[in-house]
This record gives sequence, C-alpha cells and structure tokens, in this order.
Amino acid sequence: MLLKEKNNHRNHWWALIFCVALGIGLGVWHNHASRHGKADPLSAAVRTVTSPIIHILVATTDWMNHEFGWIIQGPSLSRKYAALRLQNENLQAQIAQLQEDAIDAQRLKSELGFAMSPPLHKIPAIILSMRPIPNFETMVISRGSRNGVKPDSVVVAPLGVVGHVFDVAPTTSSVILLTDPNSAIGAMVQRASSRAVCICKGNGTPFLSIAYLGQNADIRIGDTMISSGLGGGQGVYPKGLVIGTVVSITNDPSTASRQILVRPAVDFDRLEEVYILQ
Amino acid sequence: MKGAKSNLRLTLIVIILFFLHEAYASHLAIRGAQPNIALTGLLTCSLFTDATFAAWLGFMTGILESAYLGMYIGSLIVTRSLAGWIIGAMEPHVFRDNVVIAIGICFLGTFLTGMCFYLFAPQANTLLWVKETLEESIYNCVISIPIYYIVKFTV
Repeated sequence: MLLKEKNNHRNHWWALIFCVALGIGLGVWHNHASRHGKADPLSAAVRTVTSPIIHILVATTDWMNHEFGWIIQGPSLSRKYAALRLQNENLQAQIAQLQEDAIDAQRLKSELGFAMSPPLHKIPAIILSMRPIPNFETMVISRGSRNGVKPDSVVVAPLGVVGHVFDVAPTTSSVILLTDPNSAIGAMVQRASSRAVCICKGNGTPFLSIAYLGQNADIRIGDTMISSGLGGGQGVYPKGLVIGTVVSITNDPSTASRQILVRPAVDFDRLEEVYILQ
Repeated sequence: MKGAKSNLRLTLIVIILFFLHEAYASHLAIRGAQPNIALTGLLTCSLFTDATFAAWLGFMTGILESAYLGMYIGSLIVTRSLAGWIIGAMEPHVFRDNVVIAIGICFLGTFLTGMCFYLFAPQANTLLWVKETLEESIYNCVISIPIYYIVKFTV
C-alpha cells in the first residue's frame, strides 16, 4: 500500500517535469520560428482547428443580438435613431465639402508633380476573440495567410487604426492593438498650423501616451492625431490614418516634459469587424 | 474506468470553457476587468482530479490559450501546468465539497499564476500587471461559483 502511494507520488512529479520541459521546448521552438518570420506550426494548427467553433459562437451571438436585441434595447433605440439621423445629415454636408477639397488637392498635387500613392486594398475580417488573455491587448481575426494576410499588415476600423498583425495562421491572424505596451505608431498633429511629429505608444490602459515630442511643439487638447508614416516601433503604418484625440496634457516639473494622453478613435470594446490593409 | 470517465468529462469541461472564454470573455468586461474563464475552469477542475491529470489539463489549457495569444507560449504552458499540478496535489488534503474552498483556490490560483507568469515573462509596467491580475482574480472568484457546481454535478 505504501509502495503504491510512493509510486503514485513519483508519477505525479514525472508528469510535472514532463509538462514543464515540453512547455519550455515548445516556447523555444515558437520563438525560433517567429525570429525567422515563420508561423509556429503547433499554434497555427490549434487555431485552425478551434477557430471554426468560436466563429460559430460569435456568429450566433451576433445574429441573436441583431434579431432580438431590440427587446432589451427598445426604449433607447428611438432616441439613438434620432441622434444618428441628425449626425448623418451633418456628415453628408461635410462629405460634400471634403470631396470638393480632395478634388482640388489632387489637382494641385498633380500640377506640382507629387507622386500619387495608390489606394490601399482592404480585406474585411470578423473578430473571433478580443483579448484572449485578459492582461494582453491583442485579438484574433478571421483572416489568415490563405487570404493574403502577412505579418505586420495594418488593421483598421472605419473610425481609425486598430493595430497590426504579428502572427499569421492559415485561417486566422493575431493582432496587437494600439493600446498594448509593445505597440507604437509614428504620429503627427492633424492641424495646418502645427503638424508636430511624435510617437503614440500603448501603455496597457485605454489611452495612448505620446513620446519623442519636441519641447516647443504645438499640441493642444482636442487635436486629432494621425499616422505620420514615419518609423514608430514597427514602422508599418501608412500616412494619414486617424489614431485618436488628445485628451490631456500635464506638465511634469521633475522632468520638464509634458505627459500627453490620446484617446484612440476606435472603441476596442465595441469592435465587431475590421479591415486589413494590403 | 470511473476515473477515466471523469477525467474525460473534466477535459471536455475545460475545452468548452476555453471556447466560451474566447468568444465571450471580452463581453463580460467591467471597467476593464475581464475574467479568464478557461483558467477558472482549469483551477476548478484540478480540484476534482489527481496531480498527474491536473498537470495535463494545465498543459492543454496552456497550449489552447497560447495559440490564441500568439506569444509567451512557453510561459503560458508552464504556468498553467504548474497551477493544475499544485491544485491536483492538494486534492487529497482539501475539503473540496465546499464552494468556499473553490472560490479561495480560484482567487489564489489566478493571482499566483499571474505572478508566476510575470517571473517568466516580465512586463513593462509591474504595478499595472499586479492591478490587472488582482482584478482578474476577483472576477474569477465570482465565475468560479457556477463553474464549481457544473463540474461537481458533471463529475
């Protein structure tokens, strides 16, 4: 009886040693593959096999939300509809004005001999999982290498930049969000009188911090930040994508620098669909 | 035979909870705090099996979670295996028929797993990490109550 218990105890230790050793081995294998720009076959296989089930769960919830959501949201829907209608009318007027300006700008650019960048191709994707591990600002989308997605592809939503792809499997991709501490984007102020250039960095909170901004750079609360197309961490973001709005500027007397926070234009908690730029 | 059947059920519960976590956990976020349903499932299921099988459950959870995170694969697998193994090893010594034990184990298990992960893969902002791990631990305590009863009545 005692011998059996002792054997069991030994087996328990072996199980742990085996799991830990295999885990370390798989981690080293994954790091080696990522360093050489390749996808880790095990993770890719697990995601390819499991993602259809998550896709079905997400699609079913969306369908139920669209079909029966009004039962819960009924009273507030008419108010929302009226507000959206007013906003739509204002936006239509703004679009007409902006289209005129765009035509003028294009004509002037071509007259001055500026190179025109070709329009970017967008691949739509559904979000399968937002923040798969709570402490990390990442998400998994329903497009992968089979759809032409490559590592470092930029992911956007109608309102602005979402992040960039860092791991690609055949049918899914992992995206690192702008708000993750490992994320950075070259940015500039969208105001004719400023155009100050800096870097917007994620810090794990819902806001982005501004770094490498000149001491005397002109930046104000309410300024819209757009991607500058210059460096900034991965240096993969094209120029002109909306990042967010400056919401706070505080002076830090100890370092004689300014702490500036930007609220991302995209509400990551309400995202349903994104586009991958090609 | 009975042990094999209950282990199979525990495996299925962890896999189902993993799917629910990936699809719905972000919808359950309250003021940025989000539960980890898969980890809670692992910690609760480990209470109902021995250390060897609990380590395997942890290993499987680690592989599933890391496949979706796409980074820190080794750290996730090792921390989940360790968490499962430790709770599995405690199984003969704790009174698992009380939900309060499960709640306590989920709180401590989540917090220590988070801290252990931090040791393997240090993050930029330590205070933020501790705060987020604490919030996650509290949230996991709450969802451990229904998960505990599901596991108890299934196994």
